[in-house]
Parts: sequence; C-alpha cells; structure tokens
Amino acid sequence: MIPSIVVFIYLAIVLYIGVFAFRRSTGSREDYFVASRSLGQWVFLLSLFGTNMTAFAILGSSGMAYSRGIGVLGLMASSSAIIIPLTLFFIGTRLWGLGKKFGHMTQVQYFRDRWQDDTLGTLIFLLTAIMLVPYIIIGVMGGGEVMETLSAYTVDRVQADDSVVRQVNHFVSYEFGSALVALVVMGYVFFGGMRGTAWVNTFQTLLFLVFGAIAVYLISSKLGGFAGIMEKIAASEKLSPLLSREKIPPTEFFSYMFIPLSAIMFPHIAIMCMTAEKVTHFKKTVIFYPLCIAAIWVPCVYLGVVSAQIFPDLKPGETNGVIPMLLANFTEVWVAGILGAGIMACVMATDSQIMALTTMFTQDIYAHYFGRRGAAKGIAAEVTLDDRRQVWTGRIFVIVIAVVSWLIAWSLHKQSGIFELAIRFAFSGFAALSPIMLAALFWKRSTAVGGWLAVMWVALAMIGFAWMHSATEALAATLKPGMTAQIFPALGEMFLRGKGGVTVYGFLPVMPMTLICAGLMVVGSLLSRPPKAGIIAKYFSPETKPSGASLASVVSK
Amino acid sequence: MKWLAALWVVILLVLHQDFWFWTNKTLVLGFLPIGLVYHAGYAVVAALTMWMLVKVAWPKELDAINGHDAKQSATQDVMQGTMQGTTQGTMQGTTKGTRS
Repeated sequence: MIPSIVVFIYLAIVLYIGVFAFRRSTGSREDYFVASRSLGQWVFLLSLFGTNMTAFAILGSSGMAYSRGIGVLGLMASSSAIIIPLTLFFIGTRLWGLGKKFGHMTQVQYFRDRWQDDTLGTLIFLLTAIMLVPYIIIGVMGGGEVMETLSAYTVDRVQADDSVVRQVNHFVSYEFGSALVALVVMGYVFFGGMRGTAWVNTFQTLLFLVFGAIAVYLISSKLGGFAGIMEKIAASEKLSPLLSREKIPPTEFFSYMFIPLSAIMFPHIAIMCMTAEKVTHFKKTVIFYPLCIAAIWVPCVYLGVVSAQIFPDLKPGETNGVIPMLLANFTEVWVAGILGAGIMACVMATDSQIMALTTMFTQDIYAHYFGRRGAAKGIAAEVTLDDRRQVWTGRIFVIVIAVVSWLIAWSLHKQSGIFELAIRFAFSGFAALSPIMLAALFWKRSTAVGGWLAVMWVALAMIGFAWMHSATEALAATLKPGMTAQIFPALGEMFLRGKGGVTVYGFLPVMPMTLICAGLMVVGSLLSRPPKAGIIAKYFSPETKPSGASLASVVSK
Repeated sequence: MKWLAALWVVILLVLHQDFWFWTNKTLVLGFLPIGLVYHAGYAVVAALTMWMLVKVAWPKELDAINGHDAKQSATQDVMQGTMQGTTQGTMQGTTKGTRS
C-alpha cells in the first residue's frame, strides 16, 4: 500500500507542476505549443532525454534482457547513444533554426513549405499520427501495469479441504491505474502545455536518475552483491547464454542500428528541438545524452538478466514486470514507492507524445485548413488566427486523445507486449522516414515527387510487414527459439519468420525500409522538376543552410 | 579536421559490432559480463565523440539565429516573397504550404 501512496503523491506533484506552468503561461499559441522557444540548457537536456525515456526503455528493456541477455544493451542502447546525438547534432539544430527563423512548430509545416505540396504534408501528418498513437497507448498501458504491480499484496485463503492457497491481490487495478495515469497526464498537458510537459519531464528524469542509483545499491545490498547470482547464471546451461549475445543473431544486431534514426522523426522529439532558447543548448545535450542513456539502460539490462535467476520461468507477457518485482521484493517499501514513481515517470513520457499529437493536429490540420485568413493578401491564417482558439482546440484534443488512449489500453490489456507493440508500429516506420528529413534539409534537388514515393513506400511497407507478421503467427508458434521458416518458399530466404517476427534475409524490416525509402527519395527527385529558386534561396541561404550546405552542394551536383 | 572527425564516427559505428565478444561470458570484477562493460564504455566514448564534434564541426552559422524573432523574419519573408514575384508569397508558403 505504501508504494502506491508514494506514487499517488508523485502524481499529485507532477499535476501541480503542470498547474504551476499554467500560471507562467502567456496564453499565446507559441507559448502553449513550444514554450515560447525559451527552454534553458538543463531543462532542455533533461526534458529531451525524458521525452525519449518511455515505458519501453525501462520495462521493455529489462523484460527483453530477461529473455535475451546482456546483448540488449548493445542492441538498443549503445546504438542509440551514438545515433541519437548525431541526429540531434545534424538535424535537431537545423529544425531549431527553422523554428526560430520561420516560426515552424511541426515537421509537416516545414515539409509543406519546403516542397510546396499541401497534400504531401497532410499524408505525412496522417502517417506519423497513426504511428504515434500506439506509443501513447503503450505509456498508458505501462502506467496501469506499474500501478498494479506496486500495489500487489498476498492473501492466504483456506480452502474447504483445509489446504491454503496464496492469492495475489492489488490495491490498484490495471484499469484504475491506467485511467489515473491518463487523467494526470491529461491534466498537466491540458494546463501547462509544452512548458508544463518539459518541466515534468525534467523532474521525472532527475527523479529516476537519482533514485535509480539508490535502488540498484539497495537491491545489491539485499542480495549480498551480484557476484553470487552471476556465478549461478554462468553455471547454468539454460541461463548462461544471457551473459553474452548468443541469443541475438548478428544480422538482427546490425540492422538494429537503423532503429535510433526514428528518434529525430518522432514528432515529440522534433518539436522539442524547437523549444530551446539558444542553439548552443544542443552542445551539452548531445554530449551528455549518451551518458544519460548508459545511466538508465545499463542497470535496467543488468537487472533484467539478474531477474532471470531470481524469478525463473516467467512467461513473455510477465517479463516486462521484473523491475517492479525486484523493487517490491528487495527494497524497503518507501524506496519501492519512490522508484515506482520513477518508473511511472518514464512510463509517463507519453505526455510528450500527447503534446506532440496535439500540436500537430492544431497546427497541421486545424489552423491549416480551418484557420481564418488574414485581411492582407498573402498573410496566411496562422498569423492572424486567434491564439486562444488554437490553444483551446489543442486542450480539447488533449482530452480526446487521453480518453481514447485509455479506452484502447483498457480493451487491449494483456493482448500485446509493450515492446512488441512499439517496435511493430512505430519505431521502424519513423526510422524509415528519416531519409525524407535528411533530403529536405541537406539536398536542394529533393522534390515533392521523391517525398511522395518515399512516404508511400514506408506506409505500404509497414502494412505489408504487419500483414506478414500476423499471417504467420501460427507458423511462428511451431518454431523453436532461434529457428526461422521461409514465408514464401518461392522467394527463398528473402522473407523469414522467427519467434521474434519477420526478417528480410535475416535483417530487420527497418533496414530495407529505410534504404529503399532513401533510394526512392533520390530517384523520384531526379525524375521530377527541380524546386523553385525562391524556395531554394529561402531554405539554403547562408543564414539557414550552415554546415549542411557543403553536403547539400555536393549532393546537388 | 572535419574529415578526420567523420572518419572516427564511421569507425565508432563499426566498433559497435563487437563480434569478438559475441559468445564471451567473462565476468569483469566477478559480476559484470564483458559484453555489458564494453557497451557501457561505448556510450562513454560516444559522449567524448560528440564533444569532439561540437569542437570541430559545430554549425556556427546557426549561432547567428539566436534571438532571431520569428515574426519579424516572417514579415520580412512576406515582403521578399512579394518583391521576388514568387507564385506564392514566401510567408504564405511558410505557414500554409501550397494551400489552394
């Protein structure tokens, strides 16, 4: 009960932060959606990192390490530790510049103007919105699961034959926990907008980093150190592969390098890049980002492996709960509560996704299609549209998306693992879209036709791989771990089905999706008319093109 | 210098594929799997690499935009777009794309 109370207190604090941010609000749309582009150095770093810290990063990583071993760190974290800062360095800084100079708030606003294609922008909005929604649902699901796990208690019940059966009950049900998380997130996003979201993310990141270290120390002390457990794992024929990467095929490990490309295409990250007060804030951000990743992921992966020895034979759906189980069993109740709040913090990274989806809907759809036109010719709607109307449209949308997300999370409970859901519907698609952003920023010759081909390819490829995945579920059930089967025998090894999913010659679908997207972007652009000189001048003038200019000039030749 | 930095980034990406530790189960200090230690160290090297990139490849041109007022810029763009006779004012393009 105590951990639950601590989590309740935590939820009250973050709600208050949102309300406090509301008091600092100027009421303008720029303030609500991008915090007046005024975030300071450390708030920017910690909120950007917190935005990327999700239920998946904590619960999914430890759950995956439980079954696949320490290789998960290299597979998902250390690759992100170099790729994500690189994308922030090369792409994030440019997005910041576009936001400051032209007032853009979303990627779609930039794409629409860069390629002078309204419909392409709407298509990208639809695709990214569809891919973002599962991410939000994961957060709400994770919140419910953490609340349920932390509030667990056991009751011994005497049966008719005098036997005693131990029953696990929960003070907080999954349904109530997920509803509470959705409600609190909705509350502080509703009131605080981007500033409230950034402040809450900063608080959450600090909380987890500080108390995460304390928890690892306490768990270690309670267990008498980790050496004994590791020796047992090393001596076990079944568990020893977890100490190496034996359970991860090299092709999968290699192709996973493409996944972190998704970060900069996630709308919540891209929009967050536009909130920094100064471009120099990116300097410390890209340097400290890898260290923050290591600080979170190394303990999570390690504890996931440790859990394989402590809690043997968990089912796939249960492995995502190993960190909360460790906290409940091996720390004092108050630490479990605070860490539970810390985990909740990561779970509630869904706030950034809700904020991003709201900004996208308000700016890319509402303001774009239904905004008032200015009196003067050539003055577009966004300039004269009443700020309050946009802000309140956004707030109503926050309520809608929070309620719908909870309803979906409630109805799909236990039907899909957090990690599977995320990887299947969001990460690969966003990563595959990254060549489009690169082309827009650095290649003058890129055109809307290239964009159309690339976006359509990503959409169709996602549908195709999702279909292949679901159509081969029965086949996968017959396979042993590590085994694969040909999906289309006539195509040989091209499409393989394993326990984990569909691969292309053993590589994750994200790799061919990204490479073919890049190819189509190039071919489509070269086969169509070059962009107008005015647009090139606008986006590649000396003030805005910076170091990417050299790359752009080389490519355009 | 930038080329050397780019070369190092490529080398770092290759070093991520530490196939030499693929089946190595050695426990460093008796409790840390060597593959885990390697990738934790990799993250630290990644941070140092980003520090180097900030030093040698920072997009200095963007520093000039600091404090740039978006609305002022947008207004300037409208003027320029009109004067240049582009099909649509640049401002319109900025905020409305090719809305017809």
